[in-house]
Amino acid sequence: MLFTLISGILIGIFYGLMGLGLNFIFGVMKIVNLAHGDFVMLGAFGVYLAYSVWNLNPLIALGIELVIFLAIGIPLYYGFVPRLLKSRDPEMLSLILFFGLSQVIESLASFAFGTNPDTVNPTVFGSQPVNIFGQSIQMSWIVAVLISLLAMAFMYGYLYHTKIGIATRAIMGHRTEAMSSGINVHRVSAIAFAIGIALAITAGSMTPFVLGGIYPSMGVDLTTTSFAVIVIGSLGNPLGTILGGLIYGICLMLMQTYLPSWSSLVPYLLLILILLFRPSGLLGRRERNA
Amino acid sequence: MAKLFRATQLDVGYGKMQILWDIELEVNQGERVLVLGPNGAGKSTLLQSLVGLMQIWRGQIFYHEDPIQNLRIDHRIRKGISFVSELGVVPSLTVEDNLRLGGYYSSKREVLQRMEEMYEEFPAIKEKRKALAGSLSGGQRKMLSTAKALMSHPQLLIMDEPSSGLAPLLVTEVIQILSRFQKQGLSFLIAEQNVKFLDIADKVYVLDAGHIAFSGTVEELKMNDALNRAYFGVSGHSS
Repeated sequence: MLFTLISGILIGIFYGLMGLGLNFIFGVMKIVNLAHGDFVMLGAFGVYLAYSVWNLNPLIALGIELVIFLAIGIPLYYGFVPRLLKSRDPEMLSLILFFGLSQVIESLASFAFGTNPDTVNPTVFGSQPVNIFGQSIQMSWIVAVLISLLAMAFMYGYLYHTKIGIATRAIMGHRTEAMSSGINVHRVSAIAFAIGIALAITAGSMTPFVLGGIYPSMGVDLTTTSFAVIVIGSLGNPLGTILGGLIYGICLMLMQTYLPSWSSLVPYLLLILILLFRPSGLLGRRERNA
Repeated sequence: MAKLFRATQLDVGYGKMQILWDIELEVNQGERVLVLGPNGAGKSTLLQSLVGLMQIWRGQIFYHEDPIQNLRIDHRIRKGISFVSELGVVPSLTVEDNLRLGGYYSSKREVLQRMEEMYEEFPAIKEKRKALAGSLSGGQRKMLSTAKALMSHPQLLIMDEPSSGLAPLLVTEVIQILSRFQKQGLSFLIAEQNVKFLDIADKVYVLDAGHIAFSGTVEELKMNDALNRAYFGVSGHSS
């Protein structure tokens, strides 16, 4: 039981990171990036490629990936999002557009890497397990959790301790009012979009060590899981994602321990329960209207 | 008086529907200008097009005689124009963060200094500095929205219905606050349907169905029989 709880918390932190980018983009732009899981997958294959071809340490590979995808994120925003936001129903249109992008990424990845699962040797970070409350945890999990916590701390600092963070939260709260206050919403949103993609890539770089096998079609499942995580916390509230990840992780590990054949239902069951009983998520806020 | 802000031959609309026709408007330095009109006259559309939230179809907008109609709203604000929308605040941000947002283009030191000045002017919001703007009462929100707009040291404050949703007593308070800032040289362009704001206006434009139906001083407005009846009742404005 203790091992289940500890591993649930650890994997929950990782899932929190996985949902963070999706929730951040939704919070700022009110669009659903259905290609989110595919960016996670690209992050995973980036590390796999760097390690298997150039024997590069996954953390160095992650650094290179972040530079590349931050640079890709900005033009990707300007290419897609402003047009979407001008449409009558940007949320619905974003679903269709990013679903298309997801299919393109998956097809290209299948072409490049084949459809069989690959992985990276988890002992790359060390083969000695770490002892937590008497339980042995793989070093690669600890690294994944530390990277996740670092990314979350970065997001907290970015949102709550920088000028651009206030502008970002203003756009998340009320886009038109942020514009009326003189914020260049497209500039701030483009940076947020790039950060959202970079978070997906970061989660992806740790995926081979936490989830094991990686394959080009894994993006759809990862998007669903990320969606469940952010709905549990609060849609549009990036920090709620951490809570959502923890709940998801613990539930998943409990199911895998006691009802393993039912564990794949966890994201869907949690999604249904939250939408039925607390549609605004566990950290959803109410505000005074008068 | 030196010209501060001027719009000429403005046509504005949504999609294919024209809302404003041939608008001519001027605000001089230190002047308080009121755009009066009923609901649906196009007041909010006019203000949004003047600050850059809406594209204009035709015409020109000048600030210190420089054309600004092609500038983005953030550039207009950096030049010294501030806008208070009907909402005026970001409800999900704290009072303090709303003020920081208002001073987005100022240095950290300037923001802190200006924030203290605003807390002195509006003590009601100082007590709530850590509270979410969405949890404030209507009057407090209005104070916050004005303080937020003043954070950037504007020369021209454009306000959309500052009396909206306020009790009469609070409307008087808002008017008193605006008068204080006018004495410091701030110019105002206020869209309202509450005639109480005529008490502080130097110049009035009456907007009717997207057209400027009248422009002149408050005294000239009171001498216009049709408008006098429309805005002050059949018996006229006695004061």
